Amino acid sequence: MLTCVDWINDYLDRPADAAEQAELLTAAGFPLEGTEDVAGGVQQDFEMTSNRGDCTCHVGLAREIAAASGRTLVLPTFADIYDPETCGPDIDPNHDLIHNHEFDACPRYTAHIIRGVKIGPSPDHIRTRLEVRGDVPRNNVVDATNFVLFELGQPTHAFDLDKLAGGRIEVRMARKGERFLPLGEDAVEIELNGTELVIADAEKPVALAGVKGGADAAVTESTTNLLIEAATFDPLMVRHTSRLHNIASDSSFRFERGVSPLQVDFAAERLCRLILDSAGGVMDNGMVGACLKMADLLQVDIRPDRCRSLLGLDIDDTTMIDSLTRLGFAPVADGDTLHCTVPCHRGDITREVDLIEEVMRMHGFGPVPVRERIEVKPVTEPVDARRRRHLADSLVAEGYVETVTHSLTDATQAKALLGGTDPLQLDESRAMAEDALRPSLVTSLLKVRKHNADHGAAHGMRLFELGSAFMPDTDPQEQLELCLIADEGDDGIRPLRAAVDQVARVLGGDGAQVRVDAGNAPEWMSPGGTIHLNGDTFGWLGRIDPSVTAAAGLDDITVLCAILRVAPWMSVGTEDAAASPPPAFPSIERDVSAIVEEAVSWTAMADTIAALDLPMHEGTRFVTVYRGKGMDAGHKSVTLRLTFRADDRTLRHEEVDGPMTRVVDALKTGVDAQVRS
Amino acid sequence: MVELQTEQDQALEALAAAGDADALEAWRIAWLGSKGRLKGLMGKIKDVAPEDRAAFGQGMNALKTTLESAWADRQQDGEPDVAPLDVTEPGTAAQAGCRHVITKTIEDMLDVFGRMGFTPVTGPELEDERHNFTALNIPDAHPAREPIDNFYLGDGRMLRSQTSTVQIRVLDDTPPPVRIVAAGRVYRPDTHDATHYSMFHQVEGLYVDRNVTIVDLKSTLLAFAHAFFGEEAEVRMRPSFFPFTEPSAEVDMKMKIKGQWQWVELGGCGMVDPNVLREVGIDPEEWTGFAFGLGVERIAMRKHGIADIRWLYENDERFLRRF
Repeated sequence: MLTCVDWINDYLDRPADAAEQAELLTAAGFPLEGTEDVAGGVQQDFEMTSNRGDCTCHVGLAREIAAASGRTLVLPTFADIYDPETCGPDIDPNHDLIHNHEFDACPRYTAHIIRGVKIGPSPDHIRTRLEVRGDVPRNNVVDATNFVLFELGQPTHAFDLDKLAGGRIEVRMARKGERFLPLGEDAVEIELNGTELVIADAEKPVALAGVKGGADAAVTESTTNLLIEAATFDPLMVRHTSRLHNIASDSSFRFERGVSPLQVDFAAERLCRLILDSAGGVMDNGMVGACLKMADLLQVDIRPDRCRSLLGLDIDDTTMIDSLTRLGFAPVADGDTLHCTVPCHRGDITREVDLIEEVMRMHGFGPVPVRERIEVKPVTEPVDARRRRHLADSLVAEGYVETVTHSLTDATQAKALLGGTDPLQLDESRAMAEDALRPSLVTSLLKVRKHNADHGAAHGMRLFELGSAFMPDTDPQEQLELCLIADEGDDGIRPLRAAVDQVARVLGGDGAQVRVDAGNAPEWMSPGGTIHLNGDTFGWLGRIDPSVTAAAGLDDITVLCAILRVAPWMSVGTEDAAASPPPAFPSIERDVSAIVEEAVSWTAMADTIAALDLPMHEGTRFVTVYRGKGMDAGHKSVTLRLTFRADDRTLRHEEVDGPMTRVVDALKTGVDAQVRS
Repeated sequence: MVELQTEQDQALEALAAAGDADALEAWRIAWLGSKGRLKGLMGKIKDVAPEDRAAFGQGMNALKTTLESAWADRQQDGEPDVAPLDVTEPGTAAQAGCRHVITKTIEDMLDVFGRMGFTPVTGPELEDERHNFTALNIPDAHPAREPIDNFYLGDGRMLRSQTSTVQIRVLDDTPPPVRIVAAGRVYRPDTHDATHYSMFHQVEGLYVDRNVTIVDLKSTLLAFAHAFFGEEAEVRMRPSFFPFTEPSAEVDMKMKIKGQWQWVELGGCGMVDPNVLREVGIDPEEWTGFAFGLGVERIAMRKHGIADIRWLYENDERFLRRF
């Protein structure tokens, strides 16, 4: 809210300079956003909260300054507009001036008629006040409406009475298809859809209620007779209309924050007086008002004890009463309660806690004491919180860079990831390039890979992210996903697999068993495999199909990927690792090289050996794989290393000869291997 | 086939471990002696396929030469060979990855709050309007619900616009006292520029107990500031408005930026609104609470001098590795 320092001082018994206004208002909850010396005075900008529409005007801010600093608020005084000496004839009691068909949307609509005005420049006082605020003065009538808006916070409107068809006002809903040209140099005609509240004459809308006046009945240099509107409109209706047609105005800003019907009359009188003084003319005596029964002022009670206990501050009753009095709540003590009367401009105060907040504001947060010690009940870090950290740290150790990417992605890409199923999507009103909730993090990571490729990143990049993936046909639809991608290098899947094993150890604890079976992976992995952790499906890994990487703009890089559905394991505690004594006797290692068809997987070979349940067999490790020269097409030579160990003695080499023979035989029969021994 | 390389590795390792003359002699007997390992290995030539025996023999000879020469070297000076070393060469790091500055900042914040007795919890990002709005005292007609300001799915669900949703999820299930901290992503349709992004992160704290007051709130925030930014850090609160707290305040913390202590707006806080407590079946006359929400990006960006929020989500490796 742009303000003029002198203008605020117009309503204070003692002026406050710019710095003091800034300090007091910031402390009251309206932080200063900027100060500028401009021609005619000092302009200051204050941030407004949505609950305090009453402070979007100079009197409102002066009221806050007065309450906070012990000053007195001085409301503007002016000569009575209904003085029979200066007024024209009484308004005909049988007039046909106002028809309010929508009391819910327009609780109060008032009109005054001024005849014989002379449109011209405003007096200097008004021009300067507006200019310092940054407004461009127009003429004595329009400026007066703006002056009242920024003085009292009451939007008003002046119509050229002679341009109102039928010489009357209808407050009604728009008719579907009606057209309306708003005021303003660049305004374009809009078509109304029937959900807007309009101010109309006998034929057509002349204003979007509370939002914008129309060009048709606007005041021009030739205007002589005025109809002055002062009204209040339902905040929701004003907001609806404003958003619907993308027209925001100072009026809509104000009405969206609520204007009490009880405020309207004073502002109307103030406006009429300013126009009569600056543009001349004579007012028809009386006001035409169309309104329901005016509500009484709200009564709200506050218990000082409750206030003290909620705030933890020892504020005595006298101080509390003083604060509430200065803010205009007229507290009356009654036993352990203060009865307060809420002034009409404070529509935000309806409950005791609202008054407690007012006491807090007047006390200020600065003097709130701070305890040196705070009471702490020690808590155990939940398993999933610890897991998140360990997962990330273990992947960092494996060379993976953590990313954070947006959860929204391109719908076409998302659909492709889902094998043609529609992804979860934002509603249609949001026209955005990326409006699908990602079913996997993989496309986001490919985008990051692409960004880095474009910026010269070396080959060998590894990325991971832990975040939500959103799937249309799982329950729940939101699932925690750990996604890893890595450039494929000479070691094939094995570095990625090592990272998966690390993750499995973090989640599955001591002795976590990871098993990968070829196949059953998402279509966009080729080839891909299914990962099992301790027998349960844990995710998938494989090579991202080149068509997918190409679609992501990565033509030259082959990318491997693992998708891990970590959620089921995040919160499950694991057994503490059980110690075993360090081996007392050396092991014997034997290598075996088996030439097999490409289709024979490592898992198949390892399974074949494991099925033998060999005595003293400690484990089988991968050593190397060879393809190429000397090998038949479609074949590879895989070298495995078996470790044997006895608990009670040093094994002799002869003792493992028998088992190794069984291994060789099993590989020959089980996976059709050629084994040289 | 016997792995001669493995044998050699084992032998040399054992030799290197031999610390004195007795140990050296024991090693010689074990490996090179007349009943030593090499002799035993040589005997295995009969197990080798005839066509491979020549290669095996050559390998054995090479192994023997290597081991004898290594032993002789140790005999000569009693010390292993000393390779030259330039101690001033620059470092080459092991190729580890790195954490993202946002998740790391969250982790550091949760650490501090954890020490202050706040239990970290999480909640879904795909939310319903009750958790995001209604239960947080944001009625149907409230401007915060405008479609233009939220990511709605069109079926009553939305991407959450604040982590305060987790307050409701926890209080729905947990009777007070409750002291939790929730970190996570939130979404608001902002046009992306240097200071705006349509996704960002919040750390949300909630403490509901008997007799929780503003004094507890300020003390907690100050304790956090001291732990996170240093003992000279300060906390300032200014009245503000949020539907789910009352009284409400903005929180500024004084933090050190490039050597200078500066005030930075970090988020909002306040006493939990009685309507929120009632919504989850808690009597606001018996229980009170405070809540706060701190902006993670704001903290990370000011702390590290990150000028453009988009850098955080572009994930340029050269940028990410700075932290």
